Amino acid sequence: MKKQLISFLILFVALALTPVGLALAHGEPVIAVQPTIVAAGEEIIVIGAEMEAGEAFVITLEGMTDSILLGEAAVVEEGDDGSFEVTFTIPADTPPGSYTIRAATDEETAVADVTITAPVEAHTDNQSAPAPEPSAAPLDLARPQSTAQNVGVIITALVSLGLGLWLVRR
Amino acid sequence: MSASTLTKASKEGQTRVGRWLEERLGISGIRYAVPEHANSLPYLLGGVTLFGFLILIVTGIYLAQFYNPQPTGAHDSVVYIVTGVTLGDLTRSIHFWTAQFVTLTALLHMLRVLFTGAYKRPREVNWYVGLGLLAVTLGLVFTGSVLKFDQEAVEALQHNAETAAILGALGAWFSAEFSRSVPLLTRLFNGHATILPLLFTLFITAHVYLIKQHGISPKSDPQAETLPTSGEGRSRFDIHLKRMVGYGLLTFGAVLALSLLFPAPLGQPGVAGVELTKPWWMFLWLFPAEELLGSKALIVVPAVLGGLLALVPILDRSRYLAPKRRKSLLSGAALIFVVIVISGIVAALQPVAQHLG
Repeated sequence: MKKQLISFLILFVALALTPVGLALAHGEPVIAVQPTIVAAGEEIIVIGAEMEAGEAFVITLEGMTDSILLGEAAVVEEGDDGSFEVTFTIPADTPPGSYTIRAATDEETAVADVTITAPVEAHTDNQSAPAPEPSAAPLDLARPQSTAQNVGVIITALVSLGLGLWLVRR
Repeated sequence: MSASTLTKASKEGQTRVGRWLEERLGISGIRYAVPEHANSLPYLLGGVTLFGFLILIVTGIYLAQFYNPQPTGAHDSVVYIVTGVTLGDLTRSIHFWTAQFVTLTALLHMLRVLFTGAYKRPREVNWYVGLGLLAVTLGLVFTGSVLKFDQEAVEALQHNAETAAILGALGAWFSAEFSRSVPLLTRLFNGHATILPLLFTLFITAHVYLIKQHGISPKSDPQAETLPTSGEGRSRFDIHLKRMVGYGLLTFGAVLALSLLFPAPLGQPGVAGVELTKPWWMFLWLFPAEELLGSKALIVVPAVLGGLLALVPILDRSRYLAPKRRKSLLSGAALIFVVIVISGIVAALQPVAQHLG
């Protein structure tokens, strides 16, 4: 029984650590994006590691249908491996949604996901672009106001309260 | 009058329809004995919470017909629910207010169990099942608050991404990188509508089964000791159930009134990278800790608190139920509770601060 428990624990720990092992395996390039949720028109930092010094990675932003070239990142030497840290601007007209950042050479590729939200500000030369200002204020909604519905809700609430009181006091 | 006499009297008074139903469904099986104190409000809080979950399931199913869980359409679909769907605003408001009530009654239920020592032998496992239910409830609240994808939701999502990054492999599911084909928001909706309700169903089944097995815990009188009470008591479960439904209907009435007077709020479309809002009250108390420790406070503090709650049946193993005989444990719990309340008040009063990044 004790042996089985130990085997189970070893298996559990091994499974739990597997993704880490794969992500950090020496020689496999990895990238990370900061922040992972960004507004269109804002900057992201793409950080690469586990790379060969001197390599140049092409960085693209890939959506479900489109692929946007963001630029290149040159790998510099850092300890035994190479790495890069490059800042890119997400185009302001990028539709909000889920995207993949891909860093690729002819032989290697690494990806990380990023979620893009609506842009913070419109470009001055494009007045028609959406320009939601970040705001904590509640949205002013045209909530449908129906007297019949309100009366119905009040009657239902009163019946519910009355029935509830009757059941509690029985 | 004993419970068995009451049951016999009820059987004799059955109508033809009642007898037909009884023969096929055996409804009289729910007339088993329960202690009288089980019918008081503090002992019905769990049942009221369950009633609230039934309201949440019904309203949630309706809302899911109109909600678009894609980041590009989520906020617009919530606007549509409020402004264009028949009873959409009302249903969403009922869902919102019931979620507040359910969280409150679940927490009060846990405090009642803690105060009356209802976690003691043989009910320790049910305490852990209850902690699982509390975690699922808070998970449902968090994922539900993110779905509207307004400013507050996007900020919550960014906190989610930061804590996922700190957790590493353990937080993989909560990170945007987990799936390249399904956005994080969509997966959180899946969690809200499928994974967490499934976990809730499993936990609540176990919770109710174990309550039936051990019975309601004895009243925490000065000399009371922890005992199984299954099949004992001067009242009956059908009476208990009526009270439970009664308090549930009172809650529903209050929720309807609140929904009419204060419809569920919705913020402006979310913009990433800024922090302008505060979270809902059940997470607000974490703010001061986040000020001190950064995003890792969102993992460390709940983990420590959950760990302490898990230790409760291990630390307090005496058979006594009376609070006076469990002073040290309850004093510690009260101290933590006061710190949480003060933290919440401080967080509510302090201006919004930038924690992200």
